[in-house]
Amino acid sequence: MSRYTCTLLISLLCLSLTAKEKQEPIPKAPVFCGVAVFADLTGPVMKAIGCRYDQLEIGARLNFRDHFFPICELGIGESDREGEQYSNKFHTRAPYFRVGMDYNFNKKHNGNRLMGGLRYGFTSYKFDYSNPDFADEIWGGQTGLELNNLQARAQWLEFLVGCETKLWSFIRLGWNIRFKARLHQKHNAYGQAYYTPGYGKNNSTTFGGTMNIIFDIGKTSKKMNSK
Amino acid sequence: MISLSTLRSPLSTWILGTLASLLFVSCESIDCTLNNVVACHYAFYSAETGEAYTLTDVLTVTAEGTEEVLYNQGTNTQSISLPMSYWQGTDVLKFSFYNTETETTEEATLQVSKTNTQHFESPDCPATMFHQLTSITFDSPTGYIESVEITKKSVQYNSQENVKIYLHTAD
Repeated sequence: MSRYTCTLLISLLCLSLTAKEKQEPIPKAPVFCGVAVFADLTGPVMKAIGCRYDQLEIGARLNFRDHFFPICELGIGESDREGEQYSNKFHTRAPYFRVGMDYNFNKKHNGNRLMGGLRYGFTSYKFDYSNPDFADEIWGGQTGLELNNLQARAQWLEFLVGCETKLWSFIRLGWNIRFKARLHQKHNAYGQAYYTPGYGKNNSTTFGGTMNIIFDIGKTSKKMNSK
Repeated sequence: MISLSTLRSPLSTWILGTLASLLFVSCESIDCTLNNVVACHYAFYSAETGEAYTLTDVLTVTAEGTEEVLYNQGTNTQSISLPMSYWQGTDVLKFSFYNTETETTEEATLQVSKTNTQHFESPDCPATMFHQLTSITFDSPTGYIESVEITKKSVQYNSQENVKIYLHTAD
């Protein structure tokens, strides 16, 4: 049900691109409009409210013509949870990395941006899996299952839409929703990880999102923001 | 309708962002394999014709070394699915074929050698053990079991035949 709501939200955003606005002469932005750094706010909130996984993420991006934003994102993803019905325990904590590009669809340089973007994500991580109650009820023998430092890797693509606005001076707030599709993963013979850092729950596709606090750096950025 | 003009308000951006974030925090489902039983599938064949054979005997299979009955007094049996031990390298299975007409019992044992690999999917799904059959031998004093053949080594979430048991079916 939530996925349908997400899809509807994306559709509404796309429709807004076609909204007609008054024709005004649009000043051309400089080729290089500055640099920005940002941090994701959803990760700490997810951790605070006890979600099944969370992440701490920062990033940086360049701004060309106020339309093209080459971007890189770095983060640490974490999941530490126990199954509700079975006593399985999963744990991982590992870094991830994304590179990509955002495009601003808003032709006006008024500080507000409607973004569409693409990311390539990569992570190499280890995870632990255990179950103290794992037992052979017929033949008996050893009890418990404990598998540590299982190695895994994953690559994926993310398609995103989002928007951002100027809060004050060089500080901006933006959010986006992302559709993620796994390109490749390598896991061990025991099974695949429940959660992939930076990707989310380890299905072939999944959804995600971030809410970023963004700090524009550099004179050009300040000029752009003052318009 | 959302438009660029409404998005100019920082408040609307906050509200939309918070709603979107909450949607993804709440997106969660449990996707466990429906067929999550791991069992080795044995099928009976006639040694004379080579064709699938339906037992006329009452079959009981027990796990040697335990008191467990793995298959209890089955009739008209053509194939059976039996669990495998989690940790042992070799399972010894005791087959008892009871002939209701002659009221006699033919007994045989199978020694099934294998490797065991733990398997998991998600914290919400049961962990289990997958197996790889390495060899299988049998002991049939009366010669009722004529031969045994491994047809599929991998024992996991599927219902494919793993072992063919050829029985001496001619009178």
